Amino acid sequence: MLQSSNLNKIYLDNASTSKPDEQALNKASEYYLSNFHNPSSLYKEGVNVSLFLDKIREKISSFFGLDYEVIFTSCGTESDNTVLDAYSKRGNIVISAGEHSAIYEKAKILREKGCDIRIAKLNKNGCVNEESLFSLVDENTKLVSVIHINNETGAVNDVDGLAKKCKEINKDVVFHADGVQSFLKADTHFKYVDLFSLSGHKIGAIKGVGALIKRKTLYLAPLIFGGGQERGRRSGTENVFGLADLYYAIENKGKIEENYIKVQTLKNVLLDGLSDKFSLISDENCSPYVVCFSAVGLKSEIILHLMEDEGILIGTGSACSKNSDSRVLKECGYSSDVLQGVLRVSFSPDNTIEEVEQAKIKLNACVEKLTKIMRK
Amino acid sequence: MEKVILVRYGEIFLKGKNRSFFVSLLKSNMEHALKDIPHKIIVMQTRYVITDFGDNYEAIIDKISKIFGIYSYSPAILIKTDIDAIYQTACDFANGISGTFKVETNRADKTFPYHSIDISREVGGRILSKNHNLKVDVKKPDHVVNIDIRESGKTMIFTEIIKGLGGLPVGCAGKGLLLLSGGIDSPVAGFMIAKRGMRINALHFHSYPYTGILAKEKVIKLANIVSTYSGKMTLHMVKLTKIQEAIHEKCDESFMITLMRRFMMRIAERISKENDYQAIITGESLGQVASQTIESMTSSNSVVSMPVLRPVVAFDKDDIIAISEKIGAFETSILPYEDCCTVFLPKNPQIKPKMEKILAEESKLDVEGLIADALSEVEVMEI
Repeated sequence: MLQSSNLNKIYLDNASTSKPDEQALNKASEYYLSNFHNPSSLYKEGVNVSLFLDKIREKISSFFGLDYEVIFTSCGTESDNTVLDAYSKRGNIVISAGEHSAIYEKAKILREKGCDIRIAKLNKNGCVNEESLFSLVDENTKLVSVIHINNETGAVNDVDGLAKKCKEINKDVVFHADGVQSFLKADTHFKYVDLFSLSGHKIGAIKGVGALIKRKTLYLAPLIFGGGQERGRRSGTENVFGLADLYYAIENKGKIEENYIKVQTLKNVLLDGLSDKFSLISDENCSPYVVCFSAVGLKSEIILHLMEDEGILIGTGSACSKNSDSRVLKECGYSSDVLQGVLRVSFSPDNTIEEVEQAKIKLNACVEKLTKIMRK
Repeated sequence: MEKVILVRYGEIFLKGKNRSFFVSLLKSNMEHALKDIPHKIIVMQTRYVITDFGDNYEAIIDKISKIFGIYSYSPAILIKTDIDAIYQTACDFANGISGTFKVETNRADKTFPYHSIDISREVGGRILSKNHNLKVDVKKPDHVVNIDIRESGKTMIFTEIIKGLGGLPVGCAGKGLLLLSGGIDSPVAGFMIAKRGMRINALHFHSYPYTGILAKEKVIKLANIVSTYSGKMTLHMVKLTKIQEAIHEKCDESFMITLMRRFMMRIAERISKENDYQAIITGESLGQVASQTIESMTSSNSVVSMPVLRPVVAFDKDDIIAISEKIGAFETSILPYEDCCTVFLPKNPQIKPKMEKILAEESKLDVEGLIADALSEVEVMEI
């Protein structure tokens, strides 16, 4: 029933999912058609697929350094859940209030089961409040999990710096960063971060493929048991097509600095001349990939549909928590008037300045129109 | 020996000379409901027999339990009329039961050389001798083993009689237009009117972009749920946005709902006339919300000349919810999407609007122009 022609639409909701990288998709199809074999098979074809998977591992590892290895998973949520589950048996877990639901909801379930879950407060822009975080870490803390780039505001947490300080409080703390919004969008050469979750569909690959990056020396209990794939750390036949797609997408999207500069320009274009009826939530310290603002006093979904009618797709906060006010922004201390009007524009390096200019003009027109209608 | 389903019609039996019309209408409704399942329907006096459905017994039962006009139905065994086969099959039936029982034989085939009472006695005796935990009770038995010897040389044996939905076959009482919101009440209203034989079509008002695409999808789901009982329907979807914006801009906001309801009724009547629908059906329940006072109903009734049927008008919310749950609509009805009534909701709506004030507020609007505009882009969907 829900049909839309996407070909001519301006897509500015890249934080929820990215457009597929067409070249990568074609290369992956071509690869998979002749390399459909099970990577666990012992004949040459199977071994070749397995070698290709190693090549993909190497490619991903290159963004993290030699101390890390890659466990393939089905998505960011699986990676996040695996980490929390592995450290839920004893001690306590510290997370930030700005975590994605993949961490937050899992933590709530673990708390119901008796696990000591501690939640650190946020600053106004969505970053974790460092003082609050460090005050919760103690000698019994097993895991600290902090989102690298917040999916709703773009707030960047200095996860390596946080990991360092947490380990100064308790050297045995394992530090996990949810990097679903930061892989290929920020530097990920860490020294102190031990675990990192990423997802393929945020960077041009298909949905259903992700990875958990792990410090090599760390033992991590698996979440899924079975045939012993991923050296026993994550069973289940590897999603070869999805991983091949991820590999080729990384090849095309892996120029982190170049892309960052491009996207920073897009953010500047959007903000330069954006109606003052919008109140900005993302500040200058946030990642340029995500820009969050609120049409205070108006309902964001109406603006989303007005923009949709203009052929421009934007988001209203997190795509994973529709129909309710944002938990994260509420935690940042925003009032209900602000929360109801929250919009999120999120970029890909493939977006153009012209697209963003057009979006800005339409956003300004929509907010003017709606303010006029609703005000009486 | 074949597994069949015996279907009885109730009230339509009483309809005198129109009986054959009702009987063939119900048969055609059954055929429509069962169109994706292999089967045959044989019409007998006061009943139908569904045969040749292979392994699809459960699927057939699921469908016929949702057809109006069916009084009851029984899973039965159809055998060639033969006294030994009758004894054997009836005894087999009794193997699964406990408590008290009696045997009832109906011999429509008077050429069959055994009397009903003798057959019942013999079968009863055989059952008792094989099942020592059973007792005979002819007045209030837990189970009745029915033996129905038909003229066709076939006999049906059954124990269970399952109550159907009752009512009248859809299509025997004209066509109506149900105002279908995304709420709990209107699908129930549609269900109830369809039960009295009216073919239901639906009209939904949305306020895109003030209401989302999911809210519209929810209504389509509700229309599908109602149509599992009422049969195929046409769903008309009308955008009310400009009307609401105009009221919001030009009128006293406390009249928003009163005026909106009048527009809805006018649009419903225009669509009805175009499609030969004979009544408007709403899910209004007296006093449930501000727009459902007798004054509000008077106001919305006064702009149309067609009958407006409100089957749940005297129902408590709990009673409506009970039906909503029974028909499987409740879960969908409570999905949290905004419907068009909530978007421009005034803080203090008129509860007892006075007609002269309504007319004064309405005179600020280009009523005909707004209606024509809304009717110019009606989405129509066959459910």
